[in-house]
Amino acid sequence: MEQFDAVIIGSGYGGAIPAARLAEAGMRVLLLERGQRWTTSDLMQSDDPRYIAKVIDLVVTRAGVAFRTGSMVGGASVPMDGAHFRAPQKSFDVRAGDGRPYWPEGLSRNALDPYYERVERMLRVRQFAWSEIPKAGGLFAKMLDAAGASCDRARLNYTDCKHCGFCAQGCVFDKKMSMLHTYLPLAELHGAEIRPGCLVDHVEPERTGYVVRYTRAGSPVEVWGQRVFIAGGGVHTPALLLRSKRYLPHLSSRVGEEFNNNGEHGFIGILPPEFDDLSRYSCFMGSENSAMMSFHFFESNGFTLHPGGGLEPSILAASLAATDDPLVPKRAWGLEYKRFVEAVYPHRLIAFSTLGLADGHRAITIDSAGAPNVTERDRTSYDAYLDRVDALLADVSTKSGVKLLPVVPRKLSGTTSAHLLSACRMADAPERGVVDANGHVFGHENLYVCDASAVPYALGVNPALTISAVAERTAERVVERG
Amino acid sequence: MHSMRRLRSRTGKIQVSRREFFDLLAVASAAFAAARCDPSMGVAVTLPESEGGDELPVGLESLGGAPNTHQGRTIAAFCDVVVPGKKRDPSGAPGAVDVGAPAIFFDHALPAAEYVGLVAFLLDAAAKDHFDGQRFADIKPEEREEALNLALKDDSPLEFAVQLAKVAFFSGEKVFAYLGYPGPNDGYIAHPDFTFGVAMAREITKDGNYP
Repeated sequence: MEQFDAVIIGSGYGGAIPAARLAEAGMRVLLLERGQRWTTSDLMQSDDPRYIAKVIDLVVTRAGVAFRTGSMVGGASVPMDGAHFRAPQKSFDVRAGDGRPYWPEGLSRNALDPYYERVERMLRVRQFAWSEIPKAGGLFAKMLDAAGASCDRARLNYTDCKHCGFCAQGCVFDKKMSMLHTYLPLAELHGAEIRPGCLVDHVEPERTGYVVRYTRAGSPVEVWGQRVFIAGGGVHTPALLLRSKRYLPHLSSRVGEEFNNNGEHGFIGILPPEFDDLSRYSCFMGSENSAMMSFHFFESNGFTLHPGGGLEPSILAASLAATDDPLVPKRAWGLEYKRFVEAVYPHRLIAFSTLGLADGHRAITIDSAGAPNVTERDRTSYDAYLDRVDALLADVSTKSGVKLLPVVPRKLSGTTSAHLLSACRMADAPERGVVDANGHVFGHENLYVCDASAVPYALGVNPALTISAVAERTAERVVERG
Repeated sequence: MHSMRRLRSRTGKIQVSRREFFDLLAVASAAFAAARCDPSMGVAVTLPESEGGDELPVGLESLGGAPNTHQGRTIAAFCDVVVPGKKRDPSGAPGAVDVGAPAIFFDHALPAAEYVGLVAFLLDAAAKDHFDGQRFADIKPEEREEALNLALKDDSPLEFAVQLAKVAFFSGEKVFAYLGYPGPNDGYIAHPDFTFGVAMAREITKDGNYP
C-alpha cells in the first residue's frame, strides 16, 4: 500500500491550501479529487444545462434538495463568482441556544486576520473600483441609496475582469485566481501528487494513521496517510464521515447536523421604467457577481445583500411568486407571462441574494447506499429570519419603486445554495460539534476536516475567504505539530 | 414502477404520494439548478406508453423534437401552453415548441426523461376530468390552458413540469436572439454602456470588508 505523510480528500479551497502548505513543509502529500482535471481550454461560456452539469456537481438528494458544489480539480474555486470577504466580528459572536458562541474560543476576526491576509495575497483579492462596477451593480446600489441604505464595492479575486458574465461556468479568460492558478501549482511545485477521478468510500484507522479506500476508474484502491484531511465540501464531507462511522467509534453524533445555507435567499428586482435611462442598461453585461455588497442591514438585522449580474434569460425561468402588482402576471406561464418577460428582459432586471446569520433547517444524512441525503429539521427560526428579510425588503421596494420578488417559494429557499456550511462544525466539545478549533476530529488523532463543513455557523457574507483562512490556520497547526 | 392505483387517492382524484412527490422535486431541482437558476419543478414515474394517432395536436405545427408518440404529443401540447408559439402568439415571437423545448423532456442526458410518463398522465387526467374524457393533446389550446390551470392547484407536481418547460425554452438559442441576449462574448468592460463609472451609493466600509 502506498504511504504518505498526508492524504487530502478534495481539492477545493479546503484541500488545496493544506496540500500546498504541508508539501512546502516537506511532507509527502497525496491529493485525491473525485472530479477531473480541467484546463482553461475545457471551459465554455455556455448556459446549456448539459455543460453546467459537468462543471458543477449537483448533489440531488432523495429529499428533493439539490446542492451545488465544485466537480473538478480546484473544486468550487473554479465555478464561482469570485466574492471573497472577511467575516465580520459579529459573525464570530453569534451564540447558540445554550448561550455559548458557535465559534470555539480563540477564533475571532482578529485571530483570523493574518490568515485572511495571507489568502488575499495568494488569490489577489481586491476591492473593485467604481469604473469596474457593471450597471447591474450600479442600479442595485441606486435602489438601496433611494431607500436610504448603503452599498459597498465588493472584493473579488479577479485580476482584470472582462465582465463577460460567465463566472459560474469557470473563467475562460483566466482572470479568476482559483486554486488552479494559486495553491495547486504551489503544492505540485513542492512535490504533492494530485490524483483526479478518485471517489473515496471511507477512511479507517490503521496504526497511527488512516487507510483511505477509494475507487478509480471502477477499481478499488487503498492508500495510507499518517494524517488525513477530509475536504470534500459541505455535503460530501459529512457523508464520507457518516460512511466511515463504524470505523470511527468516537465520532461525534453531531456529524451532518447544523447544516446551514448561510441564509441565502434569492430575489429578482424589476426596475420601474423611470428609474434610469434603462435603454442603456442590459442585465447580461458584467460579471456574475456585479461587484457590490450591502452591509446596511448587517449590524441591525444580521444579513447582507449580494447582487448577481451577467443575467441570462433563464433567470426568468425561476418561479416568480404571486404578487398583486399588475406588472407581474398571476400565472407564470402562457401568453401574458410571455409579454411580461419581453417587458423586463434585458433592460429592467436586477437580481440579488440575502446572506445572513440564520439558523440552518436541514441535516445531511446518508441513504442506504451511502449517498448524501437531506433530512428536514425545524425551520421556525429560519422562517422568522425570512420574515425579517421580507419586511425590510418591502420597505426598500416601497422607497425605491423597485418591485422585489423572491426567486423561489419559501419552502425551497436554499435548495440550490452554493454556501454549504457547518455540517461538521467546529466546537469546543464533541457534544457540540465534530472538530476542534484546529480542525481536528474529536476522538480521532490525525484526522482533520478542512472545508465549508467545519465553519461553525452562517457567516452572513460569502464564505470562500473564511474557509480558506481557516484552512491556512489548520495547515499551520499541523505543520507546527510535525 | 408505480401503478395507476397508487396514483389515485381514495376520493378518486389524482394524487401522488409524498415519496413520489419528493422524487419529482429531486428531478426538478436537478434540471433547474443545472440551468443555473433556482429550483422547483418535477416530473416522475415511468408509465407505460400508449399508442395514439399520429396527427399533430390541434394548434401545433410540430412536436418540437418530441417523439411522435402519445407522450410526445402530450408534452409538445403542454409546452405550447406554457410558452405559446408563433402560431398562437399574435406577435409571432417563438414559443417553447418552436425552440425545441419538448425535446429536453426526452433527452436522456438530463434526468427528466424517465418521468415524462407521469406528466402526460397527470395532464390527461386533468383533461379527462374537465373535458368529457378527452386526452390533453386532443383538446383545443384554450381548453388545455384551462385544464392546466385547474390541474396546477394544490401543489401539483405539474408546477415543476411548467418550470422545466420554461428552463428548456430560455436555454434555446432562438430565445436568446428574440430577447436580445448575446450569449458568449469577449467581455463588456469596454462597452460604452458597461458602467456608470461613479459612486452610486454611500459606502460604509474602508475597503469592502465589514469590520
